This record gives sequence, C-alpha cells and structure tokens, in this order.
Amino acid sequence: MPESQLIEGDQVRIGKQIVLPLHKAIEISLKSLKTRFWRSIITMGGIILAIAFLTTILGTNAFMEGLRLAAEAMRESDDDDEREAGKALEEVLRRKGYDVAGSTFSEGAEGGGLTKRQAKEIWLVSLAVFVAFVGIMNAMLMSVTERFREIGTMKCLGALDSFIVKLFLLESSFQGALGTLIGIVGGLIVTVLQLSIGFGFGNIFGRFLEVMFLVSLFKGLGLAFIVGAVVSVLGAIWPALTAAKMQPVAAMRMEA
Amino acid sequence: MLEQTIVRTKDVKKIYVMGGEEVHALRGINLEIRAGEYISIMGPSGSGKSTLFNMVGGLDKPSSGKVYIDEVDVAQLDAYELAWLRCRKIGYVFQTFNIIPVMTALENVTLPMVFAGLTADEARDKGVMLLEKVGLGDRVSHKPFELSGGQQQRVAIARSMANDPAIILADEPTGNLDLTTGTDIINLLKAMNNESGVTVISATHDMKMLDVSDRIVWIRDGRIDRIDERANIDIKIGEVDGER
Repeated sequence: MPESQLIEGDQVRIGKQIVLPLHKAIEISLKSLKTRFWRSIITMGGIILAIAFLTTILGTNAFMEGLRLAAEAMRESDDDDEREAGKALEEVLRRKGYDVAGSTFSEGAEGGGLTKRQAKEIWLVSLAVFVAFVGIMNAMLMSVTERFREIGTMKCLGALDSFIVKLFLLESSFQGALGTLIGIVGGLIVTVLQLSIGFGFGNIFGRFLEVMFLVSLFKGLGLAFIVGAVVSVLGAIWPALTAAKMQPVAAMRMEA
Repeated sequence: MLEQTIVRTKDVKKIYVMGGEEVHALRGINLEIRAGEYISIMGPSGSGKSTLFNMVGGLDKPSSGKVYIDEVDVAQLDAYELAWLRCRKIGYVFQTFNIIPVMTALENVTLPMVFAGLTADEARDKGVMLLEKVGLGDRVSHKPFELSGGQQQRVAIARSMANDPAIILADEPTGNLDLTTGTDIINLLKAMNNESGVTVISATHDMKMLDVSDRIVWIRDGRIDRIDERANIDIKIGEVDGER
C-alpha cells in the first residue's frame, strides 16, 4: 500500500516508508529508562523480589536434590563408614522436612505427586510472580498516562502504532532482563546464606557440592530467567497497546 | 506561489456527544488555504478554533464534510498514510513545546527524519543545519530541561521543518512565552515562511501574530465569522515595558 493511494497526479509521492530501525528503538528505550531511572527501579522492584524468591526456592531445592543423591550414593557404597554417613545425611534431610524417598521438587510427581511442601512452594512462587506481573502492568499503565504528550508528539511526527508498541515492549524487556538478573543474584545470595546457616558454609562448597546440584541449579536459574522475561513482556502488552491507540491530538492537551 | 491550494475544507461539521448531548463544534466550514500563506485562526475559547485546527492538521476527522490536504481527502487515508502525511507533509509546533524529554535538541530534530528513512549521517547534518538556522547551533547536545521555553520552542520549529513539510501547524506557539520571546518565535515562523515558502497555519490569541499573517480567519460559534486580508486591516503595535 505505501506507494500510492496518496498519489494524485504528480502531486504527492511516497518515496520512502515510515520506519523506526531497531537500533534506534533500542537507543530511545534505553535513554527513556536512564532518564526515568528511579521509576524504572520501582517497576523492576516487583520482578526483582519475585525472581529472588523463585531463585531461593529453586536453589534450595537444587541443593537438597544434590544432598539426596549424595546420600543415596553413599548408602550404596561398600565402605561401612560411608554407608553410615549416608544414613546420617538422610536423617538430617528428614529433620529439615525434606522427602528423601522421592525427588524434592521438580520430579516429585514420580514419587506419587507433589508433597505438601512442594505444593505450598509452587503456590507462593505463583503468587509472587502474579503480583510482579500486576505490578509491572500497573507501573507501565501509569507511565503511559504520564507520557501522553510524548506519545502524542511522536505520533504527530509520524510514528506508527507499531513504533509505540515496540518502544514500550523494549523498555519492559530491558527492565525485565535487568530485574531478573538482579533477582537471580539476590536470590542466590539469600540461598547460600540460608543454607550456610543450616548446613555450615564448608559443606555447601565442599562435600555436598555434587555435579547434580549444579545441573539442577542451572536448570532452576534458567527457569527463573525465562519466568522473569515472560512476565515482564506479558505485563507490558496491554499498556503498550493502550499507548499505541492514543491519538496524536493528545499532544495538544494542556493538562499535565 | 500563492495560487495553489494546499488545504481545502468543504462544509466541515464536527459533532461531539458529551453527556448524551450533541455539541456542534463546527457547523459547516468552507475554507481554502493557499500554498505559502501565513494564516492565523483566531477566535474565543469554545469557538471551534482548535477543532478546525485539528481538522486541517489531519489530527481529527470531521463528522461530515471533507478536508483535503494537497487535494487528498484526509478521511480516505488509512493509518499508514496518515502517519506518512504527518511525517512528511506537516510540521507541528505546540503551545507546550512538546520536546521529547529523554532526547537532546539534535535528537528531537532528527527524530522525524529517522521515521522518514534518512541515514544517521544525513539526519545529523540536516539537524545541525536546522538548529543553526533557529539560532541554537551551540545547543545541539542540550536536553530540554537545559533549555529555556523560547529555546525549546525554537527546537520545536527546527523539528517541524525536519522533512521539509508543505505546512507548519502552530498551536498557540507563543501561548507559554513572554512577550519578547513570543515576538522572536513569530518572527522565526515568518522567516521560515518567507525563506522556504512553507505554509504556516497558526491557531492563536496573540495579536502580534496578526501583523505577520497574510490572512486572519475569525471563528465564532463553529462558523467562520469573517476572513481578513492583512492588507485590509490596520494594526498599530505598541511596546510594553521590557519588550525590545
């Protein structure tokens, strides 16, 4: 369509399309986040806390899974002392409230469904993630309301609806990615501190540090990152569409 | 230059429904604006002045009647074509300046050029040239909060000229400025009008604007009350304390 319904004789010709290159959109989004730094931090707050909580749960479970597997390996050892140590470790795990018969979290269904503890954790994490989602949506909607003049002006300058959507989704993605990373680091720190108190700092980085623990941990961190990214983008969709629907005449409004 | 019609309205009516009642903002406007003209739309608040201004700027569509910009019926344009029209054919100057706060003066001026597909180098060179033209060659890297109101309005005027539009639409361009700065802005718009032949359409309350206008369209109760040619009106401009 671009080339031409505007053409009337030789009066008007559309030579180039209306464009917003991705690198320019990224530049504008980053500048916007930098200029509105504190608001961005507040928007990120929800996702940081939710992802930190998720990371703590997944990290702790990964560690417990590592311990359970270590205990299992020790019990099957030919060495009597090793078998005794394995039993003692299982006893410690039971005292801490972990199910040593099956897996502690992600593969719990194999052992006959989720334990009460797992179900509670899933519920709490889901709630935290949902609160983060609503928080992002609310903050972004407020941002759209405050930025009516900027959005209207961009439209007067020729921005298409899709440019506005692109800018808001990019902003939200950057906030989500950074918030998720901060949340993961924060969650890991809390996990290590919490486990250090429960099991002793040396044990975490020494005896119990099994390969399976690392695999589970990285799986957990990957999951946390995906959840953070998806929630950030989903939370921004409605506000971005609201902004895109704003009419250019909004730029003329006088009230601040 | 003055023969070609750039904006034409044909029996334009605009009805808003507010609280279940119909408000007739425009009651049949027939107006022709010629290319290269400097035209002021004047009228009291609630007269329909802003509604007419939005119509001729392609910012709003009439309830009935037609608005032609460069002989193209605006109502027939889809979203993409309207965006193209706003980007390439019309430059906007606002009462509240509307400089994008996260961008420097130069970035504000080059944004419409980016939308129009110019390369970064082309846009930067043209942006600097336009900022120099409005007297802000030494302010290209300044953010809006580092600029005075008058300087922000100059940036807005440079931005409105970014894609060499056929029309500049200025909505109360001096409304938020002091007398001296307001006069500077009016002179700058007139200089643009003279130098590049761009049509300037301004909604205003500022009587100083009348002196530079080719024609003044007076709106009252949603109708054109009268259209004065500049040559036919006698304006005596005095000076106020503090004004140059």
